[in-house]
Amino acid sequence: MTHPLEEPGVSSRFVDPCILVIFGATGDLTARKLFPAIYNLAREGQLPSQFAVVGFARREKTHEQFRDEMKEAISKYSRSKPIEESLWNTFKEQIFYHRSEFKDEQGYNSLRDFLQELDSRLGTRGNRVFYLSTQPSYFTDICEELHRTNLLYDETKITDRWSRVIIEKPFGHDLASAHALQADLLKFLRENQIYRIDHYLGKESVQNLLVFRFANSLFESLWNNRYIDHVQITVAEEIGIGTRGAFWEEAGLVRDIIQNHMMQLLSLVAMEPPVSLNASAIRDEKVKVLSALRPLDPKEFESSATRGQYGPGYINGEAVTGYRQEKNVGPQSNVETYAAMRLFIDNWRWHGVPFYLRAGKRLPKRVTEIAICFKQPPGVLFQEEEHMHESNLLVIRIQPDEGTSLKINCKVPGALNVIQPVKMDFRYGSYFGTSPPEAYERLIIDCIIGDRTLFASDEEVFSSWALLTPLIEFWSKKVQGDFPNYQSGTWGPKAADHLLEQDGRKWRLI
Amino acid sequence: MTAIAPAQIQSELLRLWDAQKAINKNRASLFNLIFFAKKNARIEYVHSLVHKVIDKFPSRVLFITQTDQGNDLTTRVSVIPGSSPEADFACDLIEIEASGSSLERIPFLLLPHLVPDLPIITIWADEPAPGNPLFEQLIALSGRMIFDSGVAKDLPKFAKALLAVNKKCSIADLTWARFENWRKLLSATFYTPERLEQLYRTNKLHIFYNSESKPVLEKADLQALFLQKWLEAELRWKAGSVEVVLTPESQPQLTPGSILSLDLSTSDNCHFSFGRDLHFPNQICMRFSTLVRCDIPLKYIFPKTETGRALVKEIGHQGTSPHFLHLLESLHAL
Repeated sequence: MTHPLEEPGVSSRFVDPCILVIFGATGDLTARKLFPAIYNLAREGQLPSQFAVVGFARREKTHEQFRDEMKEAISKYSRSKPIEESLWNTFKEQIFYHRSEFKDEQGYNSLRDFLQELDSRLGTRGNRVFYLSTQPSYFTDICEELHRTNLLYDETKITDRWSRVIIEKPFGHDLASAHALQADLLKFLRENQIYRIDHYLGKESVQNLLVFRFANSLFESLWNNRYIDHVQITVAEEIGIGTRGAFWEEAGLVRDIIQNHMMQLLSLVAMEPPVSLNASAIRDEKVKVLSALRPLDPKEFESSATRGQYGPGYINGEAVTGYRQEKNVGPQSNVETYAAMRLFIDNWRWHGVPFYLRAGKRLPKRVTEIAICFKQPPGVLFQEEEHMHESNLLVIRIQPDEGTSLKINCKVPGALNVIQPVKMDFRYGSYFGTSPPEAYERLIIDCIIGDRTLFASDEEVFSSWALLTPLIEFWSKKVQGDFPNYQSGTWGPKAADHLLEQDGRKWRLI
Repeated sequence: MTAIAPAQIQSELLRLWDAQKAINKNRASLFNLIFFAKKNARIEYVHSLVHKVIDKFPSRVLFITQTDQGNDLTTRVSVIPGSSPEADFACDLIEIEASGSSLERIPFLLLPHLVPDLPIITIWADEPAPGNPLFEQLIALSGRMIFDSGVAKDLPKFAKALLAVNKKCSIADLTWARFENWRKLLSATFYTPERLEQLYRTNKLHIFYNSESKPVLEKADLQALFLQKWLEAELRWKAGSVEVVLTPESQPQLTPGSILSLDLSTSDNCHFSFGRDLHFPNQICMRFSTLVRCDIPLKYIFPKTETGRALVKEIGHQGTSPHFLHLLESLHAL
């Protein structure tokens, strides 16, 4: 029955009172992303009034010190500036700090007591979100302690409150470890309490993919192997690995970007229309398409995938060092900072259409985009044998400058039939004046509401690991003799160009 | 802006956009927005709304001003950029000033300058004028018409006119939009079945509102009245079952007509109090108490009030709110 005061068409997602506990609260993510997101949610009135944030970390700090640090972080990184003092003076009363080691039993006992005290004081009703912004090796220990102290609820027995865990990527470092991690976590909580965050899914431009595909009848009839020649998905970053050398030596680019962000983009581009917009319907279609990905044949690894490692070069005119000169990176490191691959989806819609993925660090610019390259029209009218006109191209820009462009061929005014490609461009920023919410704002509030649509499911994670683990293992054993094999500030190694040239195609120059 | 002949509107716009190329602005338009206002004390306020709207929804704006004297028609065009220095878009503004018999030419002026395929939204910033040719033509053209009950001298007549318009296109009202946060707050507060039961046992409602008014807002009690009527309609209060008091309070620092606080008592002695913090006006404190219990006060944050926000909200909505229609029916019956 509809609530009498709830207006149809007016967004009324009811947000339960809760406490958000951030493990690893003194880390970079908390300062750069999480607290600015929480602050903006508060500013827009989206947080419940009965709400608290507790930072959990090892360093010694008082509540006040933590609040001051978070205020500074918000002032620096929030999309809305300057910080509103009147709002901050209310908001800061809901921010707390709890010092403990991640494996300290006493620390969790005192956390439990503190959270119960907050429940009484603030009316947060025992609802909990635990955000694990820590190294993956701590995930199981933290969940075990939360379970031991009854901070994670058995939802088959407790129905008047809830507890959820947000886990940052990567989920495991290969298929076996992902399964092992899942098995460990399921000792302490259920799958529907696990929210695997991939911040790309919180981006407006990524959410727009479904609207673009399924709210426009124009494109769906073209979205198949009859009309599409190939798809290019690019995630390019101009920054290097920064201070994350130790992490990067263990992870590499395939684990850091391709296994999660790019697989999500690919699944959204390639999935079938879901039967509804609820989380499970969308997840089902994403899993189906990931399951239809043709496994990479080990005999064809060399021709289907390539990797690179950046050397010294120039970014924005400034000299930068190579990967092997970065801090905490071995001088003979075999880890990739670039990868490109060709994938096929073996279903009726996509059979024969290659999906080319490339991602890398220290590339000329920061850009994430999906380029749908259409087939050439029949060569009977305006096509000359020697000179094929450019194919139609639909580009969906995920970041920066979110939007969509369509390249079409037009006649140049004049007596001759000269054909020139032109671009029709839609830019989010030009059409919708104000800045959209940051990805983490959407994701945090969705977790509090209990909406899992924008979080990766276990099946999606396993499917992408199943595809990529053999390649990761192959590369880890094979010493890449030509590393570093691309200069910082260029578009990657020559071998990546060959990946498309062997098929008679080439990478888009972005 | 110099006046130009109507036939020069398009060429003048082209000339202005050629000049814009040097500063690399995109010509953006999500909607056709038609404003109608009379040249009176409210005109500056209505003009200020244009910038607020295009910052959120860049649109082609056609601004019609009705003046009192003569039978003149004057047209001007300009290009208005977004307010922020970083905004890389600008919008077309076509201004038409007309009086007397020239008013009948306006629909013919509008038609060629509406951007094809984009929604047409009319903001009628004056009393509805059923039977007026321009009013009727705009209803026929528009997908949505937005009114401001703040200008209505006769609320039942206003409600009747809007109910008639609603048969042809969707409608909205700025006063209704202005207290949307209060509706959301009450909806969220009384969301659980227990709380809803308490709400159904209401026997007294006391609304305090800001008695300050300006030329842009003649009736300071309008939001309070609408809130009362909304609750009556949606909760189906029987006549006389709930004692309602609307009390004005002067708060010059706050938005004229804004709701300051709301007290609600039930037949079983539950008391809900929603009070605006007068120092931080977008913070609302909710207190619940019974004869034997007093809960911890809760704070809610409303998005900050600013001029034009209600209009921007209503442009973004689609369809006529069924709750607003119930309110109009209730006002019509007054």
